[in-house]
Amino acid sequence: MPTGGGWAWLALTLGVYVGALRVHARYRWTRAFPPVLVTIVVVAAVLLLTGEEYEKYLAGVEPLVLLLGPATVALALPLVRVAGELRRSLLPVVAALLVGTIVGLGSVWLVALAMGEEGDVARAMLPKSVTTPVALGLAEQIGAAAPLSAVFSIVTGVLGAAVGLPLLSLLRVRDRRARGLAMGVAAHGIGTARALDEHARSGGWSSAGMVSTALLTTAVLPTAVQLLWP
Amino acid sequence: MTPARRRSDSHRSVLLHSPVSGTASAHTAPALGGRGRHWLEGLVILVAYLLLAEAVVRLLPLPVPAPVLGLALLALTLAAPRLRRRITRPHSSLATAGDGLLAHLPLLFVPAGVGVVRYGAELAEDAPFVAVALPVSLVLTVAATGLTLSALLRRQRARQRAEAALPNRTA
Repeated sequence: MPTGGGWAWLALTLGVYVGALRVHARYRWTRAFPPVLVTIVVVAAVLLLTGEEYEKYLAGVEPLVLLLGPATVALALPLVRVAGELRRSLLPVVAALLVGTIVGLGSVWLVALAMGEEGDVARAMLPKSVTTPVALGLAEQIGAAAPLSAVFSIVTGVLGAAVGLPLLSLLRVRDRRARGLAMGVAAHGIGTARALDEHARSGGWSSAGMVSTALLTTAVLPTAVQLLWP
Repeated sequence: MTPARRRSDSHRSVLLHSPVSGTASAHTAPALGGRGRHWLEGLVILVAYLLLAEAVVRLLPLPVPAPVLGLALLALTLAAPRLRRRITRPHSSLATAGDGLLAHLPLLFVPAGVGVVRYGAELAEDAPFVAVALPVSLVLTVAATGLTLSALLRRQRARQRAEAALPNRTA
């Protein structure tokens, strides 16, 4: 838990995030800079400038880390809310989910093979479309650096939130269910926040996509890595 | 405390979007009994599922992180329609706590994200790979998922329409 100077790190993190939220809501051009990205960049810059150790920072913001557990469990709520709609189209949803997850994992693997990349970095990128708290656990299971996986997951979410919906419009995917699921499968929670912005229905389907991607990837990735990339 | 007062309290913590800042009942006795709309009760439910999942993960050799298993267990519980209606009402304690946490889910990623400061050297070394693999894989994932689902949903709707039209024609 934070002690003494640790509270300063918690205050800085919360303060920058709340400030970024306000600016984000006020000015349209800040759309491309999600508050979470701004906060990470600012806090990381302050850490580098002051030369503070990451471990000390982490001890200060431990309350936030602790809340990730119950927050992940709470992802059951948006899923349950669109459960009826999902059940009526169960087969299409499962098929799209399988295709999306296989393409997401396979493309990282293929680019790594093509570029002769065998280090930790490629392995840590595999769970990039999985919501960050789950990506952290998965990274440990496949022998990758968890903080690196977390960073890739966040960057993927931020990038997906920015380009996902325009890309789907370009491909003439207009069905809100398909738009939502694609955002959740590819860009997890940060993409879901963007999908919710567009429409509540897209948001519900996006959270379903995020949750099922987390479950599916957790189920298949450790075995797949053992077989293909020992 | 009157029921009306209690209602305004839970509204307030919904508006604040975060149970952490939801100090709605700091100056009055928190309404844990009665109709139980307090976010704290919802947080207890979430933590209880997390604990249950943690115990299951320790006992059985499941390759699943405890929070994901807790999510699955809660979703299964809520699959019962009566429980779902009671628990997912907009101002139920679980919805207040859960939606409050989810509204600021990205904030909870910041500590992990700041961890990038320790991997600066490694990332710089593999910058070309990261700059290619991540955007390419992301774009392919969005396109593959969206195109597959929209095509399959269109087919499903066409078939349902054909089935609905059929009995009319025979009658």
